[in-house]
Parts: sequence; structure tokens; C-alpha cells
Amino acid sequence: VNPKKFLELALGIVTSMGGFLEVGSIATAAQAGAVFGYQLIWPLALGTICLIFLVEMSGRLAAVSHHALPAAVRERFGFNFYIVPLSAETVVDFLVLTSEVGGVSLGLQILTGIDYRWWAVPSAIGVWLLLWKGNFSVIEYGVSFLGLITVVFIIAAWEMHPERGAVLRGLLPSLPGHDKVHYWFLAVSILGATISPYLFNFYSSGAIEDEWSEEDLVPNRFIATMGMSFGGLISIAVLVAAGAVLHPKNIAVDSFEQVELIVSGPLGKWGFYLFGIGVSIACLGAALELSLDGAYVYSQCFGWNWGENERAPDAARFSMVYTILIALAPIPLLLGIDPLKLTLLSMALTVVILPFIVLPFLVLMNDPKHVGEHRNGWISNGVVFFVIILAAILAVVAIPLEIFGGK
Amino acid sequence: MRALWLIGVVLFCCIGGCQKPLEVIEEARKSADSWRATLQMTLQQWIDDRVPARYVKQIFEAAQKELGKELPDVEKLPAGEEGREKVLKQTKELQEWVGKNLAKIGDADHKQRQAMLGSLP
Repeated sequence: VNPKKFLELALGIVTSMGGFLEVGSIATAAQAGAVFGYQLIWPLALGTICLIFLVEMSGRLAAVSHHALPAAVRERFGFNFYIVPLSAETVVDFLVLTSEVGGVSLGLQILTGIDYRWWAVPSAIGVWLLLWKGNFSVIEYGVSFLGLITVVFIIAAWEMHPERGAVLRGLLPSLPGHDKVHYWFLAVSILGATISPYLFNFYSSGAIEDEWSEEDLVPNRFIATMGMSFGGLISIAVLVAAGAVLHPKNIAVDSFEQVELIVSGPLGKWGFYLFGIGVSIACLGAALELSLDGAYVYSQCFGWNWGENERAPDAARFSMVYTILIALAPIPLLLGIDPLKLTLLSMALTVVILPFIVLPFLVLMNDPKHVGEHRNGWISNGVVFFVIILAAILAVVAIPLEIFGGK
Repeated sequence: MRALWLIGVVLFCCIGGCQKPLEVIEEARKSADSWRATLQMTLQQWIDDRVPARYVKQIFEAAQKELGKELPDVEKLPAGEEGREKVLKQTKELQEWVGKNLAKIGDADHKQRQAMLGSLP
């Protein structure tokens, strides 16, 4: 195993940003901490473990079969099957991309005081320029390096000296003493925001862009585990900081601006600036990931030439898909739709489509044609089976909870 | 699948969807308390020079937008409903206070910031 391969941890970090460090996840974790203290750490921990397994599988699939997940599903199950996840992912990708452009804009609003709607179009142009002019390495290493700024949430949580016993107890599921429907709504939202289908497509396509082979199976395991753990840890830190700063004062998070208090409270003015920059960068990373995911999914479904490492004219239809997605993304924001409301809706929709996305793992990861001798063991199959059952239950309750438990 | 969906909708409507008058009042009270605490914390951080004035302004604007959201539901309740008048008074006082002080944020010095915090209803 080439030790340098472990440096590709950047792919894991940038992937985890789309799951943990996007505007919806930050807001939901802060809301959970503010209302229920440390009681909702368990869905984050559970989501992180599931994600480590599923991301590792999508990387393994890419390394062994040289097919990214969308291409493998399309090939194994046929176009008629794939049209269902393709349609669903198009809607979810668009909604979440809009939320992320909103997240970049909200970060800039907090820093400058200029309303986020003024930032929507410049933010979208920034995302597009990075994709058009940059290559996969620029995105992978640039975003993951700058994304380390989100460590500020860990420092903020640490500075608040949260009660360790209470934090550890939060790892175990427990029933709430109040607001039961809101509690379950947040638990489902956290799981929906964490186990996001676009992460698997992005990670496996990224593995193809980075030209992984069977030699990369050990680094893949390391990258998936460390990358997802990084995102999970930051997300838990957001929840813990909110639990320590906002919960004792009975402050609920109704507006994204309130989330900033969890950092400036313990860290002062530099915390304020790092929060604004961190949110903008994390959401920029998620926006890049979602734009690329849309382009990957369409290109692999229709057999077009694809790759962020290709010159835009050489992968014209691939570039066209992300260009269209990015061009449309600011429109709902300009029409006055709240990015937070949009992201909560997209999280509920993500949960609804999750069974369709996870089910193929069970087939592909046990098919010697795709993964050769590197098939799933009983633990990995057990996790996939658990996620399918969990996803099916969540799919049934997600929309009613969104209607009655969302605030 | 459709049957499960219906069961889900009915179940959640029963346990959480159909809000009773007391729950409406409780929600409004919690929201007013939460925003009061948010304004207090923000002003304290501003006094301690932990956040800039432009951020305080954003919090005030967010409070102005969010505070009135529960009022129509509370106002729809019958006049004699327990806690109705109290929560209406509390929310409206807070709304008025935010409206009055929003314009003063830009050039408030340390003393004025403290006076603002002291006058929070």
C-alpha cells in the first residue's frame, strides 16, 4: 500500500461536508442541542456509523469495478429502474443545492450585514467558476483544507466545558420529557441530513476521478472512516455547543442567525468571524459536491463523457448539467424562500428516497462481477440491511413528522 | 405502503397535529421567552465586544420577523382563554421594544448598549 494514498483523506473530508457541514445539518444540530440538550447525539452517532460503512462500500465498488455507484446501478438494474432514483435525486440535489447557495449567502450575510439574497447570485457564480476553471484536485484539497476552519465548533464546545456524563448519555437513545413530535422530527431530520444519497455518488465518482484501484482498498477504509468521523465529530460539536450555550437559556433556533451565538459566546469576536467564514466554506463545499453529483448522475446514467478533470468542452453535457443546476439554484432564494425551510423539506425528501438508494448496495456489494473477491462480509451486509429497514421506517414517518413536528 | 402512510399521518395528527388552545399559547410563550433570551444574550455579547453591531442588527431583524408568527393563532382563540392576554401582551411589548431600538443600534456606545439591555421587557 502506497502511504501517500492515505493523504487522499481530502476526498473523505470533502465528502463528509455534504453530509454533516452543510447549512441544514448545522441548523438541525444546533436546533437539537438548543431544545433537547445533548439528548439527540445518538442519531448523529448512528448516522456516522452507517455512513462510514456505506461510503466505504461505494469507494470499494469504484476501486474494484472501476464504475462509480450511479453507473454500476444503471448497468446492473437497467435504465427503467434507475429512472426512479435519478428523478428523485434531481429534485433533492436541486433543493439541497439551493439551500447550500443560501448557506454560503447566510455566512456572508452574518459577516457583512448585507442581506443573503444579495449574495445568492454571486455565490452561485463562485460555485460555477470553481467547477468550470478548477479540476477535481483543486476542489478536493482546497475545500477540505479550508473546511478545517469548522474545527472552531469543536473549540467552542470544548470551551463551554460540557458535562461529560451528560454528553456520553446522549449517545444512547432516550425518550424526551417534552415536545415528543419535535424530538422525533429532529431525530429523523438528522438521520436524513447525514445519510444523504449524494455522498455515495460523489465519493465513488471521486474515487474514479482519483483513479483508484484495488491497491486503494485499505486507504479507502481509512479515508471513509476518518473523513466521516471528522464530519460527525464537528456536527456533534455543534450540537454540544448549542446544548451548552442555548439550552440553559431556553433559546430555540428559529433563525439561522441565532446559531452564531454558540461560537461567539465562548470564543468572542474571532469566533464570530470564524463562524461566518466556516459556514460559507462548508456550504461552498457542499454546493460543489451537489453540483458535481447532479452532473455525475446524469452523465453516468446516459453514458456521457464525464469528469471534473476533463476540460469543460470535452465533457460538454457533464458541464451543462451542473451549469443548469447552478443557474437555477439562486431563483428560489431570490423569490424569498427561506433556505432553512427548504433544507428541512429536502431532508425529509432525502429520507423518502433513501430505501431506493441503499437497496442496490445489497446486490452490488455481493456480486462477484462488480466487486470480485472483495464482497461484503456479514457485518457490512448486516449494516446495509439495518439501513434499509431504518430507511423504510423513516420514509413512512418523515413527511408526517415534517408537517407536524417541524417548527 | 400507502396504508402505512395513512396510519402515519393519522397517528401524528392525533399526537401532535391538532393543537389545543393551551398548546397554542404555550408555543407562543416559549417563542417569546426564547427571543427575549436571544436578545439578552446578543446584547450582552455586544456589550462585551464579542459581536459587531451589524450582527446585533441582524438578530433584531430576525426577532422582528419571527416574533409575530404565532400571534395570529393566539388572537384567534377566545378572549377569556387562560394565558392568552398575558402572552399577547408579552409578545407585543417585545415587538415594540425591538422596533424602537433597531434604529439605535448603529451608533450606540457602551453606555447606551447597557441602557438598551436594562430596558428589555
